[in-house]
Amino acid sequence: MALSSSQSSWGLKGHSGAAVQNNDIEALKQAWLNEKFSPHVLIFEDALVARVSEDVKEQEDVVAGELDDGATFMTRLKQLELERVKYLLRSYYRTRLRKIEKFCMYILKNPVVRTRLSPAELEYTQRYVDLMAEHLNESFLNGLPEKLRDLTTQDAEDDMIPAPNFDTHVFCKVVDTIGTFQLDQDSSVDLEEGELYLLPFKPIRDLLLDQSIILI
Amino acid sequence: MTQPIVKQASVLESFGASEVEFLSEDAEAVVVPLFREPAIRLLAGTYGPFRPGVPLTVPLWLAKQLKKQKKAKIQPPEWMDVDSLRATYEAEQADPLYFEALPYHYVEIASQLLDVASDDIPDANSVRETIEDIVEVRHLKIMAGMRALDGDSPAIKLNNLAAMEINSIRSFFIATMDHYAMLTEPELSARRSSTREATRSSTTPARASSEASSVPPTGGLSTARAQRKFRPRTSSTGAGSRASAASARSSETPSRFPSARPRPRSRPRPRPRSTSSAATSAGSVDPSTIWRAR
Repeated sequence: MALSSSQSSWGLKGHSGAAVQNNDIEALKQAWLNEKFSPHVLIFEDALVARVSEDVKEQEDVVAGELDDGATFMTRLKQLELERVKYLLRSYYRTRLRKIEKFCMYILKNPVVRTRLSPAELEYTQRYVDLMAEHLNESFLNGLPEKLRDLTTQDAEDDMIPAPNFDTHVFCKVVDTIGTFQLDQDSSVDLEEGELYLLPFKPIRDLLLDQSIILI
Repeated sequence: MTQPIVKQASVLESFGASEVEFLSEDAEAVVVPLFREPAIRLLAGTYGPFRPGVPLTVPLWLAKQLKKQKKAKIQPPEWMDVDSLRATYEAEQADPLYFEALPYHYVEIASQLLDVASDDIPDANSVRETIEDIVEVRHLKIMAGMRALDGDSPAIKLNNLAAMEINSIRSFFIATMDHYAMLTEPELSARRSSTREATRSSTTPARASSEASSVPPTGGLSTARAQRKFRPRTSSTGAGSRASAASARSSETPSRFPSARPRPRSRPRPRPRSTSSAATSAGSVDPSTIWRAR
């Protein structure tokens, strides 16, 4: 018979062995995954990132102190965990930056999307667009006829601003039972806690925002 | 007017094997320490104290380190016991449409434990073989599910699928569903394509390079190896289960599962904010059940 999750076999969801649990790391990991799998840039998790960065700094001081007293095995474990957390932070930033670069014009033109970026990211976007425009102009656009030089043409024939594809699908896990949920005019789905789905992104983006679902 | 026939499926790739392994290393593992040490305060929590012979739950990455340093033994999880694995395998084979409940990262966990702690796992070779069998029989079911993708419903239920399995079907399933969505709603998608805000993704070539440099700091172990190890075999032992799974599928289940059947009595209650058009509702539709949930 299959194992049920009530059995205390580890690996299945169970209680944690940590006496004091810091959920920020887990939250950051999920923020990274959500970012990785959502087609558009999500709201920057500034408070979470700030807390984790602060924790990392403190732990680095602790480790530095312990290293001065002679490194032990336990210190090396702390170092290893630090590397893991810093990798998470970097991955989160990097995943966002890739999307930001891809959709830079779209982001700058769209005031709502702009608010999802951190001040540093917004500055980066602006500089990225400026640099790219300068590069394209100097390398060949200036040699083209006037009407072909524009980088932001959006008319019936051409759309030069890459925008996220909201019509795509995402793999997600239901965190809170939602019940019957309308996907479009003629289909709905029963979303129960713990279930995994492949769903169209557009109807469920609000569920992602309030964390009723997570992307996997 | 050049309308792209196929919109870009997704700008996002699947995870690499090293990333999947990194994610799995936060799973819980039970170790039996061989040393005495006060509790260790890590960022993710405080673990310990470590006392010889007293089992302790720690993250898998920590367990692997302790084991590699010969500072602890690893207590294999119950589901990795040969008998329960064989039972899982039997159940997996018996039902062509249902996936048994296994830990979300069972492939990675098993492969890492068999790598670093095979001496702590009773009958490790049988464990390894049985897990390979399970991976394979599940893989065949996934392949069958792929063939049953018919685009009749916009939702697909994937209960009990594991991380590695989802990762392996991610791009195919997303691309398929994206295309179905466009094909089945031509006038809708045409309208979508012309509305600027939401849709039209003119594509720049996917950038493959930047992620290449980002390898997670795992201790040298790679699930690339795990993937190879657990790749379904095509040899003689695999053939039996393959044949039986295939025949089970063809005899018991129509290849197109009756997915888009309206359920007249269940009253959909749309969330107010979900979609603007949700107010006028037709009957609700089951998610495409290429696999069954239990």
